[in-house]
Amino acid sequence: MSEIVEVRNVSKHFGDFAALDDVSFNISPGSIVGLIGPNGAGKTTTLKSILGLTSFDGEMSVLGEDPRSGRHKIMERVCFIADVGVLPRWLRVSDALDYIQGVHPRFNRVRAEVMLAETKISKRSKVKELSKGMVTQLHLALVMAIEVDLLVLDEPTLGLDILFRKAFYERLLNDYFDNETSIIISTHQVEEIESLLTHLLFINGGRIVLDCPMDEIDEIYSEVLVPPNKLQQANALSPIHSRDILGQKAMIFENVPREQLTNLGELHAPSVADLFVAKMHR
Amino acid sequence: MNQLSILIRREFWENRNTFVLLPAITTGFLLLMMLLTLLVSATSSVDLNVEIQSSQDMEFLNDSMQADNIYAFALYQLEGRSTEERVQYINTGLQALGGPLMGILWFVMVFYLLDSLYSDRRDRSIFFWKSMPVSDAMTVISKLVTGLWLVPLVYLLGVALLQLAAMVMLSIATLGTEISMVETVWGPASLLSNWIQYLGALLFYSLWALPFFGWLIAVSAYAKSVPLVWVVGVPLAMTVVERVVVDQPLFASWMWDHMIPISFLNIEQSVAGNIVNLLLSLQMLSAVVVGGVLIAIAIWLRGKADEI
Repeated sequence: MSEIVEVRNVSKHFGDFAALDDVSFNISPGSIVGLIGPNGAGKTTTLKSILGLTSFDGEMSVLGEDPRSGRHKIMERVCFIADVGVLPRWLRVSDALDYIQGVHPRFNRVRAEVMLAETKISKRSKVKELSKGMVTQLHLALVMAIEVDLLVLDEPTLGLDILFRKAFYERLLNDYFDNETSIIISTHQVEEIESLLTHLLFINGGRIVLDCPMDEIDEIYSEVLVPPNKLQQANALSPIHSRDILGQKAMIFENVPREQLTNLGELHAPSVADLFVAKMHR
Repeated sequence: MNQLSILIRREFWENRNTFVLLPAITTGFLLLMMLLTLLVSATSSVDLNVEIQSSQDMEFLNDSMQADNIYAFALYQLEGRSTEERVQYINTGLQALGGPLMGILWFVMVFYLLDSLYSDRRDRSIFFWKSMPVSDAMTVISKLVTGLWLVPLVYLLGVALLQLAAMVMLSIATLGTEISMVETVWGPASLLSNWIQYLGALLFYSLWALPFFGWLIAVSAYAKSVPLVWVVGVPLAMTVVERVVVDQPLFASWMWDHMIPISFLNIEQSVAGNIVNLLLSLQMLSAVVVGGVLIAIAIWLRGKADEI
């Protein structure tokens, strides 16, 4: 099966500032991609470009459509939850259900109502009467009742407490993900989604700095706890990052064979968070 | 078609206050005032006595001052006049009854369209609307259909209700007098044809003023702040520039012609014969073309729209 999203040499400039600088990547069917980068790295701009919500230069195909001209067609098969609540404040929950039922051919209303029934959200409420966490719950319930090929989540849990965040991702993985849907999640809280992901995309300063499947991470990257007496030897292999841990150095190496590393110290795969820090500092 | 109907409902959810509550309250208030006048036999409340307002002049007003019941007075004026005079008298009165609602309607239409593609960019809910499989053209069309046809229909319903109530109250006033209800009041009033004329006028107006409404929705899609400044500023600037450059308000007079509020539209224009002539006129054709171009621009701008 062909790629869900193909991004080729996409750039976007705001005046002299390059929000996206020659970005290319693919999203394959059934993958859960983490788009990870610091604030202002270009995460939101990337996602908005995929969704046809902003203009850009370069080539892109989302489910076979150019998002700049085919947004409304793409949206039949793509769902989107943005970083802050974008549900209009005046909208009533029951009206939101009516609306999506009326415009979206793939909306399963019963499913949305079942999910809403598990929350404290009343169908008579207006969005402005709900707490921030409830608005996200509502949006998630609406979106998860739509059968789509790609779900785009832009910092979906920003500003929510840890209980909501945990529940959000659990729900996403258990109730939604079925190996046919692809998900792309942007966040700067790597630790929380690390275990969900099948693919990593790091972005910094508008450029993709890492594009790698999760199961290849430990083949390419290794972290070694190097004791002080072997520092010189380790530095010779040019680690991409090193930090102090209890008198030892935790060093991350890229594309260095394991045989060369095992005698330097304790060897293991780096966590995504550590790898992220290493990549961002380069 | 199905999609359009839910998009229109969405507009009514968002604007329930100005689309439904405002005309309902206005109609209710006017009805109450009419009822009070009937009950209290109000003396010389000229403001409420639309029949008098619309009719001849001082001598008339003086008469009304002396009358102790405006309904009785209206009947008294109708009695003993020719049928043509009665028709004119009653129908002018009925149309005047619609005045307040039609006045409010124009402002509601203007500010609704001006806000329609602007406020969701401000509160970022544009990302929710755009995450639905609804084309930009459909979005813009739903707002135009709502603003140009459906909202006026709601207001016209209020007008119709007021007119009907006025007729009923006049009829009640005939009770106990020798005046014939049918001959004096209902016969000359031609309520139904009045309402059909209103519908014709509405349709006519929506095309005649299309450049204005197209301009409003284009500004709404474009402006990054205070759209009202653009709406007023650009036509004013164009008028001034034209005055300076060619010293003749050719374009400006055309432009201001098509900016008239709905209540200034002469209802006689919509009489069948006139409407056909006007529909085929160059004025009308140019209005539809310019309006259409502005609407196309609005759709294009909506496609590129981002949060502001």
